Amino acid sequence: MIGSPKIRVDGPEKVSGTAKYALEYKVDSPLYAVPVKSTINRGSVASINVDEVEELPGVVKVIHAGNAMKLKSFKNAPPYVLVGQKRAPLQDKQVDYIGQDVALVLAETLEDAIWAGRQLKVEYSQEQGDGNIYDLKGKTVKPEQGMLQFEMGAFAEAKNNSSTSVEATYTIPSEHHNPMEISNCIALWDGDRLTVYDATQGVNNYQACTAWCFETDPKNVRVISKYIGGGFGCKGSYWSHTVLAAIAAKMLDRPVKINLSREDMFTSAGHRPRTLQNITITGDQDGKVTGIQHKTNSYTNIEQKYFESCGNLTRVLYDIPNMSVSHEYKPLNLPSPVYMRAPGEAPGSFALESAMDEYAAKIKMDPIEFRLKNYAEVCPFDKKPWSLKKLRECYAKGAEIFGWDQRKQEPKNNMRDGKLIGYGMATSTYPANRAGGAVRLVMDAKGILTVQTAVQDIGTGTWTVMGQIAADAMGISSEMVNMELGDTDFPQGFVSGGSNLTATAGSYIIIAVKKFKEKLLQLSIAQEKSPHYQSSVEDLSIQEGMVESINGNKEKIGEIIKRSGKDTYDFTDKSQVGKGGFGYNKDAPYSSHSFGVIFAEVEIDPDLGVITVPRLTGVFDVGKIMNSKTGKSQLYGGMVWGYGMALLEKTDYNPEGRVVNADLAEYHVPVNADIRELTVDYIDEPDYNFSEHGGRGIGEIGIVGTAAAIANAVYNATGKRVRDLPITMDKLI
Amino acid sequence: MNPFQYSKAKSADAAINGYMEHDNTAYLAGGTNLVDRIRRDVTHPDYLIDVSELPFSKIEKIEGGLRLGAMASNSDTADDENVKNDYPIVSEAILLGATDQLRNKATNGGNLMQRTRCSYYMSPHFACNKREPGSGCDAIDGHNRILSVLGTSEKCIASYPSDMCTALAALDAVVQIQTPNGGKRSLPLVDFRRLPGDSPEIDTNLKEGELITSIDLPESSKAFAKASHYLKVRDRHSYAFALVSVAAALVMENNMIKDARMALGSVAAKPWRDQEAEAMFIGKKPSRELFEKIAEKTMEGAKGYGENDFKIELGKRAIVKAFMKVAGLS
Ligand SMILES: Cc1cc2nc3c(=O)[nH]c(=O)nc-3n(C[C@H](O)[C@H](O)[C@H](O)COP(=O)(O)OP(=O)(O)OC[C@H]3O[C@@H](n4cnc5c(N)ncnc54)[C@H](O)[C@@H]3O)c2cc1C
Ligand code: SF4
Repeated sequence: MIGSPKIRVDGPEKVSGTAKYALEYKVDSPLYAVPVKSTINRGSVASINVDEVEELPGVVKVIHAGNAMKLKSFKNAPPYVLVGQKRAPLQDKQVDYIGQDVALVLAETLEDAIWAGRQLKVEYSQEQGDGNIYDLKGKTVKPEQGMLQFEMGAFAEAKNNSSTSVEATYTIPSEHHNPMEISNCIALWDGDRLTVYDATQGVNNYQACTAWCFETDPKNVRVISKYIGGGFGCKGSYWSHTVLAAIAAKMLDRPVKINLSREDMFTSAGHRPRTLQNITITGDQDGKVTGIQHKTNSYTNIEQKYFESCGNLTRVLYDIPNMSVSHEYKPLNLPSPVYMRAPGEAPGSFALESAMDEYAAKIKMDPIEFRLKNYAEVCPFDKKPWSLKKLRECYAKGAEIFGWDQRKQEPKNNMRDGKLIGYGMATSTYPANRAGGAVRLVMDAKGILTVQTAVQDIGTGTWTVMGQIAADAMGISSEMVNMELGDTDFPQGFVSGGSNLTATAGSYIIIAVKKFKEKLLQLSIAQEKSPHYQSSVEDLSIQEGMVESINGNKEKIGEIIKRSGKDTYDFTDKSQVGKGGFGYNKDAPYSSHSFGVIFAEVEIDPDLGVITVPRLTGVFDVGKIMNSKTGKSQLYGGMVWGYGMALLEKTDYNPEGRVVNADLAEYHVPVNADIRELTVDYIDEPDYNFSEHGGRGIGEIGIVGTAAAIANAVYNATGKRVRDLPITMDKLI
Repeated sequence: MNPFQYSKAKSADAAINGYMEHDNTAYLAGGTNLVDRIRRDVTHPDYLIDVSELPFSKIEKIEGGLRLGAMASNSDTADDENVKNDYPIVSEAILLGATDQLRNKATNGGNLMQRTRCSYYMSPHFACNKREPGSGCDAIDGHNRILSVLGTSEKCIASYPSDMCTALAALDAVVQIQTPNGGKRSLPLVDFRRLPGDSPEIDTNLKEGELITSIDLPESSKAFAKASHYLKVRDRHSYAFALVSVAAALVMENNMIKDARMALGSVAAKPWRDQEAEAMFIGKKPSRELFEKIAEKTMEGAKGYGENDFKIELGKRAIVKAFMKVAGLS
């Protein structure tokens, strides 16, 4: 059950095109909305030719700062109101970045709305802004949080006393999530009640944010998100499209379908900011590291204080007595960056794991041996025991599967069919996150268990896996479970982000099902006609849908409901972990992290610098795997992302902060032809110190370390250390 | 997208008449390039004449060679037995371009006519002399990694990325055109596209209303079938335009090069051929040294603009690599 490779329950609907995505819901006579975006990076809107455009065929209205419904500002919103951009759209005329909403055009057809939007002439009074992502130094700000400015021991002293050190600077370009499904939604009001069909990683968050700015009770806002065409972090925080659709639907009293374009996805749903990381590792000739310094420079939006926490993993990965981790960012006139798959860890691991490779190369030591010399037996920064750590086993298993012993220590020393061959590896890690939530369980007379909770499946397999978990906990087959997700009418769940959801919802479902089971058995032993009448609950068990006693009496679980005289029996339960949200919990007895190792083989054309990656192998310690099929797919997908980060992805900006390559023809993500042999394995040991089912999250860890493993393999093949991603042929010839 | 009228032409004459009778007209074939530009607010035709069903979709032997109908799909062209046997490099080049779906839709005429590639051109928010003559060129000092190093001007450095046409240019293909006055004319493919000069807004030498009916491959170019190769160098292993491509072909006799063809793609606003460089092959014994010398000569006048500087060296190496393969030396 748990762990079995059950195929996706939503698979048939998805491949046959019947799975409904946000914009595909049918609503009565909708209006089509298209946002118009600013073309300057700082200043204010001076005038808009609204009257002219409202005269165009099909156009119903142009909403702008001068006539938009007023909303409550997000400025003082509590942390659970998680917004991507604090300034709600169309509330004033101020412009902070290129791509900010300055108007919304509503028309009877999508084509009319797009055309009218292009006829809108917006005049600005312009001010001097700074949208240059290529200069991350200068007027920077240091975030104050303890984890982001972390000192342990005395790094400077360690450096002075060391015999060996490496120092290098690594840069990673801005990147965009670019999920297949664009962030779009439908909003419709029925009196004071708003329904939104959206593509979101957190239905409850979108509900809370909408309720906040419309100053209404969250009960009045229903957010539905059954299927999502990829999120990767850009659909977790709340962005303007939902607000715009809701404003328009309210003002015009009609359902509104808002349509962003692919180009809009480069300004209006966040991105990973460009980073510049400087790392110094000091130690001795035998491979014992004594100190590490990891400095990160990045940028953020002038109002939104998002920062890319690249140094976090440095505090976790190796047993290094002296550490100095710092972050600073530069506020720029750019749309806000946001979480993108493995925020912090993905870019951080490229720098850290490249630097580790540089050190190993310098002392001519095998990179795995070097890492084992600095293996962290307890969590380095808080000295807590790990809830479970199997990284050593990952190294061993991975090396075996990959054939690491075939690697040549000396770079540029391995040719095959006229190509340079290189092997590289990197360690992977990601924090194990878990939060709380609530679930409603309903059992009917047929023995079907309905599970309702407001979580969402962003394409990862949540529909399938939660069903398996609930079935396993109940002792019924997963075909007897009816999952209901993606709707705020269900009890409050949690966001799909930070790889938490399987641990979060899986755990609270198990806790609830166990209580529910107990209640059902109590009910059964109190029913005179029950075969288990007056038995003791301890003597009963449920297996394959049958309630069984130790003396062999059994009956179908639905019989209990039948005898109760009611159609169904239901139960709602809520459980919480730590302080409720996820993130570092200093009171927890253990430190919980996932680990892994990535191996890469590269093949490089010595003349042209063209890079092929014939093999990528990842072995992970992520606790118990819930479903070996959907689980492996997540890890494969993460590694494919890592490939993209290493060799392809890059958003180019002009000096003012406008994206140059805002389409999928010029913003490259990997295609099938790029990905050759991909192998994933794991140490399938449950971490019960962390979650009810022993699993940890797997959505992000696959990307962490992959870029470094490829970069290290490139060094091994060519002797060239590329510290600036993506690694393209121009950097090798 | 802007409102436009649409009609499907039943004959070439009707298409051309329709074109001449309306203002701001465009022919529509597979639509894979034109529709993208309309959607991105870059091109705004008022009248579209669909030419995809005109009777020029055959690939047929004609006197003196092989005729590739202008409305034949790129896929059908790549799969055609005569193309594969007699002009294999054309098939090879097409199959390295775009994706199956795009190639099924894309036509030979449309492929030839696709506009040069440049991200700044594709967004109306940038200065671009090609889109808006006289507005400037944001690419010259910008992210120009993919743009041209040969035949550029201060006005424009956009590159022409057609794989098919790079191969066709190497094989001396000729473009057949029907003109508005009912006449016909032809242009060598290599002269069909223009360098930017002072008027980068004009990509080709096709005049108002003229319709491409076919691209013809000469019989004589069959001689290259035995030793040819299309090398496409790109960032992604599929579904990516070339950074540099080389159509390389030789005719060998007694271990000596009797004839040679070389066309480069994605380095200029047109498929790049250099007659002087090609002459250097003739009568020589193939060797790395010879190819290196020719590569040097070909790239002699190249100029980089920053990010695309590497294309000069990459171009040289690609030439050597392609010819080493064709000559059987690698
Ligand atoms: C994502 C993407 C990737 C691509 N990758 C590659 C690649 O790797 N290599 C490559 O070579 N190409 C590539 N292409 C370009 C593709 O080959 C062209 O878009 C296609 O060949 C155009 O053909 P079409 O029939 O669709 O032209 P259309 O879009 O219909 O027309 C293009 C132009 O040609 C004109 N036209 C069409 N037919 C005629 C005619 N008979 N007479 C006169 N004018 C005519 C039209 O008016 C229009 O201006 C790619 C395209 C896309 C969208
Ligand atoms: S290179 Fe040509 S197409 Fe590109 S911006 Fe400059 S003028 Fe326009």
